[in-house]
Amino acid sequence: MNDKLKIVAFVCENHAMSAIRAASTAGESLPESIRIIEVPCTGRIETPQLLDAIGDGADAVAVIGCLEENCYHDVGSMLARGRVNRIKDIMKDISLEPERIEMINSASVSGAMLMMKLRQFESRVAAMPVLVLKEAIK
Amino acid sequence: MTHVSNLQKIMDSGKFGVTGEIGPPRGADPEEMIKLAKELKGSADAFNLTDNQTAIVRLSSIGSAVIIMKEGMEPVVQMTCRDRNRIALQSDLLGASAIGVRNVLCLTGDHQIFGNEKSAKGVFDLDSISLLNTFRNMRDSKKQLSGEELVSAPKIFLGAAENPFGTPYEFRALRLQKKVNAGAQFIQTQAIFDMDWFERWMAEVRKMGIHDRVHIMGGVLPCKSLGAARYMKNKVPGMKVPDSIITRMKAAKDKGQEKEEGLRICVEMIERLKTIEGVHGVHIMAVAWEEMVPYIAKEAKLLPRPTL
Amino acid sequence: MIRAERKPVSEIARMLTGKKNVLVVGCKTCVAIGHAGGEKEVSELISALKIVSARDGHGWKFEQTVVERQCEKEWVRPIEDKIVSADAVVSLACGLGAQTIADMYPAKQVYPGVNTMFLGVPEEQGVFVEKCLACGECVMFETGGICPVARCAKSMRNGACGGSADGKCEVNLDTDCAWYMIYERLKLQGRLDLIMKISEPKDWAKSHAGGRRKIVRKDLLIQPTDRTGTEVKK
Repeated sequence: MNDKLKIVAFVCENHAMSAIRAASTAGESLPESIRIIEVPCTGRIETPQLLDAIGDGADAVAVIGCLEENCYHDVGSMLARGRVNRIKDIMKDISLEPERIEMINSASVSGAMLMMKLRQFESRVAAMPVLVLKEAIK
Repeated sequence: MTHVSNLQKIMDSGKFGVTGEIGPPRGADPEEMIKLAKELKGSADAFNLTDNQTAIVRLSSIGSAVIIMKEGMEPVVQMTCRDRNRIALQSDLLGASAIGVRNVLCLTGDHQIFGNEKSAKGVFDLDSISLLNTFRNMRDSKKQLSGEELVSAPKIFLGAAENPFGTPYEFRALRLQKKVNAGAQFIQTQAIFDMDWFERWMAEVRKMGIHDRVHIMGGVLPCKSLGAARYMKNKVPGMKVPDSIITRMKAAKDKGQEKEEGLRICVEMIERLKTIEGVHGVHIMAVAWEEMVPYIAKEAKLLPRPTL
Repeated sequence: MIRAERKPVSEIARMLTGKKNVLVVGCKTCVAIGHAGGEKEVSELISALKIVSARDGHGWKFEQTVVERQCEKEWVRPIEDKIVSADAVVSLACGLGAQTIADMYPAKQVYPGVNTMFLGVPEEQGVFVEKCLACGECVMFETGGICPVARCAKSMRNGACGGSADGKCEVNLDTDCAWYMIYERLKLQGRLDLIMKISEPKDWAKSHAGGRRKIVRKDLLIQPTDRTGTEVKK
């Protein structure tokens, strides 16, 4: 069991961040393992950044954006989904669990549901074998 | 033009021609084919030997022709463009003619992806139409494709295949005309189950005047089972099997008479073919059931075959 | 343009076993536009290889760069220092770019990072389709502007084949039968006479089958002349 879990979450500053703030206001806190990186839109994230998060020592990566049918920037979270899936394929190819990276979509009012999904993601990752990097990436 | 083969002689003289088909074995032992040849002898005017059908490696068509000729049967050697370039195709025609083969069916060939050597390089140097044209010129002008003169010309009766059920309609009719223009002297069609559709196609063919220029032989195929009928209806592109056939086969299955019904349907198709103007023969493809050809021919009152 | 697909990262990683200093070179032309080997894809590959190196202890050190057109020596020469100091060069350009580097620096281990696939067009975003086989003898003036060599699975000159059904190719039901399309196109243009023409078999000697091809444009060659203006053999 991995108790020094590090999960990087790329969160769009629009609906996704609103959902997180709303949940926090309602007393629900983010799981401890999650570090947030706020981005203007998940569509802005390129694949090297997602891989580098793992390379820098994260056990998993969550990409949290608006619901696709209601993306603040139209196609941002849709583009992000494509890139997350591409990373999943690369992970599988290099013998890493593709489940270490996930796309999560949220409406601004669905803070509670988002938190629940993040807790579930955290438990799934915690159950995976620890990813040991023999060398420092940098 | 003199007749070079028995099949040609029979159809040119206005008699209804009959061809069967033998699928060569996937091995080098000719035993089974020799046994089958002895059973089938006399039940058709000539027998097609398929050429690595569906791109599955089998004993070659020309090799098979030698085997059945030894049993006194007339072969129709099938040649596809998938496995050979123009050098090999012309060479094989000279070879076939030299050993006594007098009927050749020119096909483009099923793509190699269907077979058991999927990584093979498909040749397709020629297509069925340029193949017909090439063979015709070898025979009639004694010239190779490149224009160089041959020392001696092959003697050959040329055939091609056509699918009356392909779409679009008008395009397939033009293709048939093109094949005849390129030298096709007989045409064997895809197996017919929708006789109404076939009759409409023949009306088109007659309208274009093709029926006078080429011997059209309607293809028939006896269904061994309801499953076989369903497979042909749903899984084989370009095959038309009407619901009525499925219904009949299903009813027969319930009575434990699938094989009998399949054969009965086949014989009915032949009876109808005999009545259609412009149809000069039947091509019986008893796939995986070759031993039934004599029975089918007899029931369809096609025996004994005429000797001219 | 030329379409390529990046090789699996694991395959590239295997090529780099035992290497230390790895240079990944991309190209800004065909592979960049095709999202297979441009600047972004170079970064992506390196990020993935860094994880593999860190996990498996390869100790790879990465350098990255991208050139305008990797198939032209003029664009490769400026990055010579980077090539020389690497003990492995992974090229994300098409086979032309990779070979340009390999031929210019024959002592260097140059590895192809992509599989060069075909000459194709983008039918819609993210979908590239082969339409030309560079056969050396374009005949599409007879087929209504549709290439039968590349777009027919059997490269027929007198198609369609018997397997064409409902306008689709027997090899792949997602693919339109090229000859069905040619028929429709010629019908639209009132040129069905071309369908009836028995077309000669292709001259494959003009394609790659005739051997590696070369075009020499005499008018473009730089040739020395003597004082009278007569060409001098070099």
